[in-house]
Amino acid sequence: MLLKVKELSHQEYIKCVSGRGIGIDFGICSFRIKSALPIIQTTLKKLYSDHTIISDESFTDFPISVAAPANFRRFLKPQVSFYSDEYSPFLPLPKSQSYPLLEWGMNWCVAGQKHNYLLLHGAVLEKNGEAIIFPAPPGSGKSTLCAYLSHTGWRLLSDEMTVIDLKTGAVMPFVRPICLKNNSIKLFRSWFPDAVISDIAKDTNKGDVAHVKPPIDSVQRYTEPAKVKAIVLPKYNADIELDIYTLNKCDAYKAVSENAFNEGVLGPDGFLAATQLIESCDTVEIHYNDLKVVSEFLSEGRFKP
Amino acid sequence: MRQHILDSIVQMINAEVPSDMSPVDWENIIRVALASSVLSRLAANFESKYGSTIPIYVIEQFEAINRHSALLKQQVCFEAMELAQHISKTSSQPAIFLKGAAYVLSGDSVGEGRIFSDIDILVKKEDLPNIERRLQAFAWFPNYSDEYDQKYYREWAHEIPPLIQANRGTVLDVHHNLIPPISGRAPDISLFLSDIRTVAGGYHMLSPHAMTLHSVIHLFYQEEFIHGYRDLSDLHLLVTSNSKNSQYWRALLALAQETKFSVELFYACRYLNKIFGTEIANNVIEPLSNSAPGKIRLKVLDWMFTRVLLPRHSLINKRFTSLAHQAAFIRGHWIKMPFHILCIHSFQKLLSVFRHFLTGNTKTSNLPKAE
Repeated sequence: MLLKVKELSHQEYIKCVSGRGIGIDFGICSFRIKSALPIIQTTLKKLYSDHTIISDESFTDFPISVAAPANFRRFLKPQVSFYSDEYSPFLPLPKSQSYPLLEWGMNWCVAGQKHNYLLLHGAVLEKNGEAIIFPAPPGSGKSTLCAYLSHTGWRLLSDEMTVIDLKTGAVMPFVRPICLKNNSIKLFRSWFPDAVISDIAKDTNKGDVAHVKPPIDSVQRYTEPAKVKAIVLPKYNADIELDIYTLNKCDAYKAVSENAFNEGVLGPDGFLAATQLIESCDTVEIHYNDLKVVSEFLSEGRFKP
Repeated sequence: MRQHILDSIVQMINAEVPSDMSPVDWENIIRVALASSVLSRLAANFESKYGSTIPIYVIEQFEAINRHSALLKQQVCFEAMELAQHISKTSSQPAIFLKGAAYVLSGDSVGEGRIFSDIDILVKKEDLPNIERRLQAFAWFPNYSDEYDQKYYREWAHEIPPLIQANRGTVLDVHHNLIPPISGRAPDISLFLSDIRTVAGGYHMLSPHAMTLHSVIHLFYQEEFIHGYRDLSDLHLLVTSNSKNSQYWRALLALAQETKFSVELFYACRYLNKIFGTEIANNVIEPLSNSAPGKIRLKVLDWMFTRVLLPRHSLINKRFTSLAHQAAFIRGHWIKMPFHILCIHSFQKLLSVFRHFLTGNTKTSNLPKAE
């Protein structure tokens, strides 16, 4: 029987997360998250409540933790470090950024080690069995778009990490909280006052950051792959409601390759997967300022002129 | 638990599949193997080594890390070809690849899934200025290092400060000896070079026995044992794959004696046998036992090496493992440097440790920021 995080009693949960760690199944991999920090324990429970637990006796791909490093500085200005098993890949961050550090650490684990798939920096959403990939660098409005779509009838597969199966070319879910930055936090709250959202971590590398709990339907379908219908390169532009440009396959490849975490590591297989991906679907670039109009355009699914 | 994990890893290094493994046992093996940089070694050619007897979640981890090994191998072959050319144009002696790069280029079992961060080559000392000039013209620049580090390398060490290829980020250590001349123990390097071999691809490297002795010296002249277990597993594979050749041991013993590294070879055989169960023939052990240190000294060394030569991981660490690492750190410096040099060196390093302790900042941290 598969248990959800929310089905644990508070006591059981705390025992788990501060003991061997709470094992969470993501379909493509599993994490075991351990932390004694109250901010991590509370936020994790809040955002991952619908996720499926794996037992203490199961195999875990990534045992991770967030904890205070042992140096003198902790008495002056408390810091936290992310640990992949016992190795810490980053510099410590101020304690107030504990939760974003956990999420970024999880991205680091998968991007650097899960080379069973082609991994792209980009969001994926699906409707009627057809997935759309939004490969994008930070600042393109991708996460805001992703948060909006996932709360208006689209299934969220991933906000940060597009996972492509090397054999089938299908996109695999990696359902995790959506990371909103700065102004989009307030905007999102005004659109969806009922959505569950973490406290804001201020002054991070990316400015103010908050994480949005993924919708329950998306979480429940965490093992269900989807066929890629289109790659849409989003560019937020305050002056344009919606402009659509067809991307030629060369530019589409460039967009995929530039946003790929591990195309190089996969060698020829990575290149093949990337080229097959762009050749098997429609590729467009959109300039937009109105999410509702974008959503209508995407739902219509007519990407060819 | 500790012994079970260690036994299982050794079995897998010997291409056997451990039995009675629970999912958590597999997880523990992978954690320890990854932390000690031997996971890629276990994963290399896993289909042919273990057949279809390992669980799918382990296979997935193996497949993923094999991608790294394959990429590294490709990069090493590319850089080696370039470097061999540069050196051949500036020196009468070809570039001789050492350690990790040599293992991989040799095509031997020791190179399969062997990962490393920098390429080591050995060149003639008198050719260094020309070699450095040529490498610099091809964008191999000295890594950031402060004045003290420069002095350390130039005056006392057996290598020049590491070079980084500016376009590709490859790190290169150029050696002119195998251990620091300041130790007073640096061997006559020509003894190691008397039977250089050329492997497929045209790369030059030490002959198997000289390669083994270099690996031994490198391990027992180290002050940091973060890769101690991986390095000892190199030796296990070198010894096991060559021991059928009757000339190998004879040449190895003779070279060790001639270059005065018999005691290091004695340690290597001792801890190989203790930790990897490596079979060492009696006719090897007997002549070496003449070089063994006194009983008390050996007891202390056993205490230290049976800790620092194990994977450094909380599932493996014994009581006082940290202390043993500190002792090994001091020993490593002690045997490398005369006392007055050691004092200067310690003072310099203490300064930077103190700075770190107070501020939490390292002077030159390579770690990225999370995002």
